[in-house]
Amino acid sequence: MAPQTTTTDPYLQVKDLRVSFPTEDGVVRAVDGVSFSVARGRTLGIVGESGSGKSVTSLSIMGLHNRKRTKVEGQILLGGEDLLALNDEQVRRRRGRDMAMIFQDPLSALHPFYTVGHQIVEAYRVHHKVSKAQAKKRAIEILDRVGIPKPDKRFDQYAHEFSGGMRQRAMIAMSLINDPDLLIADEPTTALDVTVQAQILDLLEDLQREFNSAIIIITHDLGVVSQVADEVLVMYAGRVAEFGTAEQVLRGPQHPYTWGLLSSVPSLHGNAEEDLLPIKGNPPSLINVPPGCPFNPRCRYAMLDPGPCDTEVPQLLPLALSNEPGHTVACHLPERQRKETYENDIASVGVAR
Amino acid sequence: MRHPVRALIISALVVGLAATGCDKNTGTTGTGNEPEKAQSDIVVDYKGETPTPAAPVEGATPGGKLTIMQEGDFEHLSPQQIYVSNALAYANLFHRQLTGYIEDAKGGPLKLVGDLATNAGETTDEGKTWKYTLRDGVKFEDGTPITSKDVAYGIAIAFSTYGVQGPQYLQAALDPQGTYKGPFDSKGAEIPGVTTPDDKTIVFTFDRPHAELPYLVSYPTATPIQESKFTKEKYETAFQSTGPYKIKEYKRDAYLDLEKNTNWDPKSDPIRNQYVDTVHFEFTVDGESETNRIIASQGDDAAAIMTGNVVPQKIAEVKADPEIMKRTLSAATPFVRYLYINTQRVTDVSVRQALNYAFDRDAYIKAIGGYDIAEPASTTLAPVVPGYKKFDEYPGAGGGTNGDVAKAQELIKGKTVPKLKFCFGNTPVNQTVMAVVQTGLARAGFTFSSAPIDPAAFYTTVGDKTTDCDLIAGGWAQDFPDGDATLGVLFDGTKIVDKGNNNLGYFNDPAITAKIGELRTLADRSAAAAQYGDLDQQIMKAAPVIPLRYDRFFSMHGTKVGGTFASPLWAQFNITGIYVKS
Amino acid sequence: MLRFAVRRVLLAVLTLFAISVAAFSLFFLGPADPAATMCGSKLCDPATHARITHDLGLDQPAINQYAAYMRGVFVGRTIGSGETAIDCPAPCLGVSFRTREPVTQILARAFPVTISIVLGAAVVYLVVGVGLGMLSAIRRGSFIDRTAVGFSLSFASMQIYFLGLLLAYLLVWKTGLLPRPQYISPTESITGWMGGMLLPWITLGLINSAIYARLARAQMLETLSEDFIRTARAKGLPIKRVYLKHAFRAAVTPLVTIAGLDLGTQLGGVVITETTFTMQGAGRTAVLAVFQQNLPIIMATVLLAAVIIVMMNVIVDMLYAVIDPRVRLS
Repeated sequence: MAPQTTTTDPYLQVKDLRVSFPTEDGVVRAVDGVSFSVARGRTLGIVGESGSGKSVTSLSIMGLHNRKRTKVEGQILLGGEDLLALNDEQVRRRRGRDMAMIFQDPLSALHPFYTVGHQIVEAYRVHHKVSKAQAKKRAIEILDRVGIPKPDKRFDQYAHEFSGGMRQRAMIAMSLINDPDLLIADEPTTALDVTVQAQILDLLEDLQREFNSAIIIITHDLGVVSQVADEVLVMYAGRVAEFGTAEQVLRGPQHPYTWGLLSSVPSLHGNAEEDLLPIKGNPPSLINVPPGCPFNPRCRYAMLDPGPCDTEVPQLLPLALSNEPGHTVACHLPERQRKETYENDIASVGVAR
Repeated sequence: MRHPVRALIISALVVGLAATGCDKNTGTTGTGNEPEKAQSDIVVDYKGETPTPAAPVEGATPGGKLTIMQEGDFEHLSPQQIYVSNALAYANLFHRQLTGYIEDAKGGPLKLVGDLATNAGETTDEGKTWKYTLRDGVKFEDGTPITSKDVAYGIAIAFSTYGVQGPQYLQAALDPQGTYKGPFDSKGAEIPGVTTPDDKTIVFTFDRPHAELPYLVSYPTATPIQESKFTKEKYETAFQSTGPYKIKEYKRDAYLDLEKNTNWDPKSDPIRNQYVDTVHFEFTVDGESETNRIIASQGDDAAAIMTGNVVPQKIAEVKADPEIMKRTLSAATPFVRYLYINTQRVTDVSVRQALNYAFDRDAYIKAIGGYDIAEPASTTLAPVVPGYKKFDEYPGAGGGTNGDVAKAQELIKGKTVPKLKFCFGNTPVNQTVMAVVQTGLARAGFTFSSAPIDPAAFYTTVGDKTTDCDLIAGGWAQDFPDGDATLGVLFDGTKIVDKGNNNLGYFNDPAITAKIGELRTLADRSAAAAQYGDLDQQIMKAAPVIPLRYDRFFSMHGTKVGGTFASPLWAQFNITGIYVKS
Repeated sequence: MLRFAVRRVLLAVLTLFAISVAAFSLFFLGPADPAATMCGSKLCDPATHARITHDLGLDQPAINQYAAYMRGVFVGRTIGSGETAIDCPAPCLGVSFRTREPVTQILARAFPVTISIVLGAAVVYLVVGVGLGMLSAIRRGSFIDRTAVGFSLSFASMQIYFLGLLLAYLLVWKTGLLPRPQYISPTESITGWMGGMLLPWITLGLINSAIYARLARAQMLETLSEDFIRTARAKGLPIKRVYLKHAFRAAVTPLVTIAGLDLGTQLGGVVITETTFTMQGAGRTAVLAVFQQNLPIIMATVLLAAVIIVMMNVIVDMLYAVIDPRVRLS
């Protein structure tokens, strides 16, 4: 174990992560100076639109990015050890054992030609020297644990013979079979029915309690975040826009982008269409990120002519006025103005209500 | 006799490519081969004066293995079914008949001699009865002496299903009504006209003279067959040899291995020598690979001959190398191509003569593949026919080979010649070549409507007397070396029937028909031969055909092959004295 | 699965029946006159012509000829009558018009040649072609990939007779590096068989390799972008295992269908390859039979080719059900 590790350090620490890769049109800066950490037993929700860099961040942690084409800088400390300093083989050994991942569409994420049991056994045996029979026993146990009925029968079935929810349970079983300390769930419920979504999220919470693992949930769905996340990281254009506990970010969001996210989710109350205040425009190209605050072209409150929103990159800073420890935001707007705007304009629409 | 049938897909492609590549050669091809008088005379040995064994070949060494490359297997080797030229040539290795030919390597007269029989045939009544006596010591490969009954049985087989593919001359002469169906379907019946008074003698009796009989019994039609050993269709690949070699192993479509037949006695054979130990026929080659291998002449291929012509695209390469040229054989063949003029429809002889004058021989020969494989024809008889006389009734202007358009125009001056229906077998080669022919003729003002006919139905269609074809592209090869086998078939007015004609000019000139009949009955064929050249010229004056070309044989052998030469009869290698240099 | 199989087989039988009728009537109703061809240009007087026609049974009504033929295929038959009759046991495909040899025997000689060419070439293009295609997909954009793509482009557009004759000229006639192409039965000499087959294998193999490399590369690229490949990597599987097991299995499945159908077509006769190398396989036999209007051989080769192709179709369908569990269920 690496010497700098102490029991108090969070299990995963990402420090100033920068990921870029060259394309024919220019260099894509997919992640640009992101730092966060997740402790065992805690759940971090990473929120953002597609292209905000949230998936790239998770793939970089897993080491699943294309190493030849991608430049990754910064530090990813897993149990105190910098994954970026390890070679392919060393990362591979940790992958699936110390950190595991589940994906958005379990049907395409499972191999169509191998039985579900076979794939789970394979995941176990790649990290454990055990017989097939032992591995099978273990696989059936875990299938049972994630709530799959008749696991011994299901073991020999193929992914297409499972229902959507069962498939995701099987995926979860496969990722948890090695008892990883970090679980990354990339949009784990997006492809599922709403009723099933809740079950899966409950299951994840249950399992976290049991295994005491650190969990990152990547999602664009604030409902999911509110349900399971302890902390929330809002990403925009490869940067952190806002960070805080779920309570802080959802109850007292500070960044106009977070407001946008909140007000574009329909609420269960009131007139769905009138209430909505979607964010105008599209996320920026990561090749030509707008100068200054990357959100400024879409921001209703941007301070332009003269800046600083289109000239200076805002720092991620703790709130000065409110007593919200750990709540940070990268926005040039004065904190007071933000508070007022939120209370007047935003709190009445969408789920923010 | 027939040309072998072959799959032509690739060859046609390659010829097409070669034709475009060869354009630059056409400017220099004034070097047409002189139509040589390859076989002016024939000697028929009625008296049995030819000595046995066969004359030894100078410098011949015994032993070795001869390879014969041929594209595809023989169609037939069951003797009574043999009719294709290559089988006729190479069956000499294992089948013997009553009579046979001795060809002269130096171009001397062809000899028809007694083979199994002591002489070429004896007749005392100008050809109505013929007697043959078998030589002493002739045996089948199993050692059984050959008797006249075996010869008669072979002839009986020729009447059966196992003889339909062979020549039918002897059968037609013996049984003009066609009632006898061979020893199976006409079981117990006598073979009409054939008697065997004793084991050594066979007598043929006809209702009218058949002076050509000595030729007819040189075909494998008259190869003896042991009744107890005849295995019907299996005989194709497991025949009893009577010649110097016998089957060692025969794998159809792949190869045929022959070994020496120890029961063949050289003292009983005036024709064949037996120098090489084994003969290996290889059927899995094509023109291209045959040519390449003989050029390379490596290993066994040094002692090999090829049965096909040198492929057109390799001719230039071969001619450029003096060493290879030494190994080539170039000779006239019995194959002649004509454009028959239907004299029932084109009745004006001057129009027919004008057509002959207008024909552009040079353009035609170039279109067909050049002077190495063909030469311009001016006679109906092939140069190898005994009695062939070289003449040209319709010479080109200024002695050239491009025809004489002015003469042609003069002949048809003031006449209206209707559009001529030009019929030919619809093959890729004909499609291009016949256009060249038409272009040549059109120079004199003739007009045509082209009528390509499905090759399979061609002879049925144009052989119908009522055909409306004016010009018919056809060909002929004599079935035996006698002027009657060409002129007597193609220009005999008495032979015109309703259907199935060979006289495709439907030519019926009383004087010529009479002359043909007169020459046909001459018992001494050697003497008759000399008169056919003049008759040919007389026919050409009446112009029932435009002679198009004589086919040529242009082939090669390996460096270690000796004692062979081009057989004028079969357009193949003569293998009766072939040896492998040690 | 059983019902699926039964239905497929029934359909196949129906198809074969239709093909046999079509082949037979095409020949029968066509202008061909085999008797005239056999008769040649000489002395083909109507009597001889009629006799040959009768001998071949061509004077019978078409339906009787067809019935007799099909009866022969299943129960055997006697061809002709009297002492010249030929006993032709099932599966009787008739006797050659020319040699009266049972067609079954002729095909028994020809098919091993075709099978040798086709299977040998298949090994070449499945190993070289598929291997190259997959490798270039894995190493996308690398030197290997660019070489492989170039190879595909240049060989896929090449013709067998061109490449075959070129290679024969260079490797056999000019340099003697390879033995002369010829068919030697493997029962006689395994090395002789392989030596003689080398050139056809290389020629047909290379040209097909180009096609298969392209297919395999596209298929592999598509597979590599699949989610389940990412899953396999996320599990921590060694990369080789990901490629060889997960990616290969998924990428190769569609190729099985294509290869199976290709094999079926080729086993019916590879005319151009056989002709290029002068090998008396099924294709060349059929072509020669067409030239000679040898109806029984044409019929038999057409029928057999149809049987092979239809059977390969059925086999591929069933095989697909075995290798792709998703098909099995539906």
